[in-house]
Amino acid sequence: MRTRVLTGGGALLGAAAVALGPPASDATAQAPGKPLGFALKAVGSPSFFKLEGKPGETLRARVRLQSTSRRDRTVLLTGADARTAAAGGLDFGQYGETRRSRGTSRWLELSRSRVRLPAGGVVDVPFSVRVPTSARSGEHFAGVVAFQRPPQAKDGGPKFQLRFVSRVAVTVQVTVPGPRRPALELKDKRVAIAPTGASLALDLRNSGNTLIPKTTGRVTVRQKGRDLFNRSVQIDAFVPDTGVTYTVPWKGVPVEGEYEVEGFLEPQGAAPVSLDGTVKFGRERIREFEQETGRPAIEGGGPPIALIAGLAAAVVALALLAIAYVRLRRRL
Amino acid sequence: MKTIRHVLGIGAIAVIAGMIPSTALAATDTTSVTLTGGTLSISAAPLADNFAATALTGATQTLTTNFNDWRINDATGSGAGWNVTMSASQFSDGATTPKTLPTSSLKLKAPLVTAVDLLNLATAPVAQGAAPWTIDTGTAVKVFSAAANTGQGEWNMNHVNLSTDKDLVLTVPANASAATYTSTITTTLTSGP
Repeated sequence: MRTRVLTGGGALLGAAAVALGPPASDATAQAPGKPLGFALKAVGSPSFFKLEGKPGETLRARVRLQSTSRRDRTVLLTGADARTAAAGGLDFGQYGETRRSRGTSRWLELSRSRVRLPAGGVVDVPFSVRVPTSARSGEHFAGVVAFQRPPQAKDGGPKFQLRFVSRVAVTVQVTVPGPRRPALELKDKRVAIAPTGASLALDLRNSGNTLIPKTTGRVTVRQKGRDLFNRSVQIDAFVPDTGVTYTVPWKGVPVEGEYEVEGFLEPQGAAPVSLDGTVKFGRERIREFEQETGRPAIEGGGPPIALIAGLAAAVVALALLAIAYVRLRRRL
Repeated sequence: MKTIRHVLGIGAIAVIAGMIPSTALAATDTTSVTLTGGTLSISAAPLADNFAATALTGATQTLTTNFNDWRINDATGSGAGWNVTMSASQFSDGATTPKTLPTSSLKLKAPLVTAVDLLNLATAPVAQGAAPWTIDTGTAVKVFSAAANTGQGEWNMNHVNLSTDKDLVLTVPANASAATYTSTITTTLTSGP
């Protein structure tokens, strides 16, 4: 549990808070948290559901909730759309997310959304998957997610309690017969700014109708022909008909100007994608960068200016040395 | 002579007969055991300490706090693999017109992975992507993955939490508003591709 409180006031209070902080040690041992107390399993499958259905067909399956606890508990079940996580992998959204389902989870109908699970007991929950008549051919992904309502804050004081929610999920893959079209697209690329620093953001989309199991690649960012950084790219499972912003950490502080991007992605089973092009880091972004990160950005050209300044300093130093030498010679 | 033959014959039969039982025993003494699959579960849920109450200074501040160890137990015996994703909601004061901290403010350092049972010879699950993970972008981050035929057994994700540099890191911008902020961290253990 975690509470985050910010109060207006001076640095004095902050210093006092630091002074009253926990005693220093090299590392703080933290006991593991409590067990979740239940597990979720796809009945009749070693891992997850791989169903096949034609448009208009209704498929039936069961998930099994199994208690791993010595006390009864109420478990909530829901269907969730599968999206693509930040560096690939299936993402079933966040707890309490109010975003309306637009994907495959609308095909799922669970027979129960709340299960009283006895200590050490097992409860099977049947569900149906109704493939719409308008369903396109290819692979469609959703999940059945099981969780408990997280505990409320212990007191109503000025602090809020941060809630941790742990969930278990089983993927439901529905394949509608028809041609497969694996395809990955680069929609946009830009310099992204966050409090944790800058990054090269690649807006990617699986515009095909099959899961892309793995994507690898490489990207190089240059300014005026000089390599700034070079990174490998690795993206795990990319869900069809979803997009993700893949971020490549920026090396150092971005400088105002234009950058050349060169690179490629090789999605498994699909055509390679070129990352070549340019991105801009304009003057207006400098202020944004400074506000978000608290670090100064460099205006106009950066390294070349530093280079010119260095060269100028060297010339001045040489000139001074030459003058000193000439004067010395005259004295002698 | 006949007697000698009989004795030899009987002796040979006895020797063969003596061998037969041991062969027969080897054939019938086969021990079998049936192992049924258990569950894939979060055997210790992720949890973290509070961030200390902090006074704004007008400058960007970095706060850190302890992140507890957490555990995944794959007792299914299927070798099908598993994934763990994490996602934190944007820090908000929850008001109708909410005060928020920017997204991408919260980072989690990668823990060390060790088998709880020292005799577990399975290949360990692997931390994914570039850690530290920024977990409040609005999109979940896959933090650990066990490919097929790896990650069987119970695994402890050990957060080192150095005293000066703990594992959960919050960046508070210079222009943050004074308020009490809350975020929910969702951890999902998934059976899937």
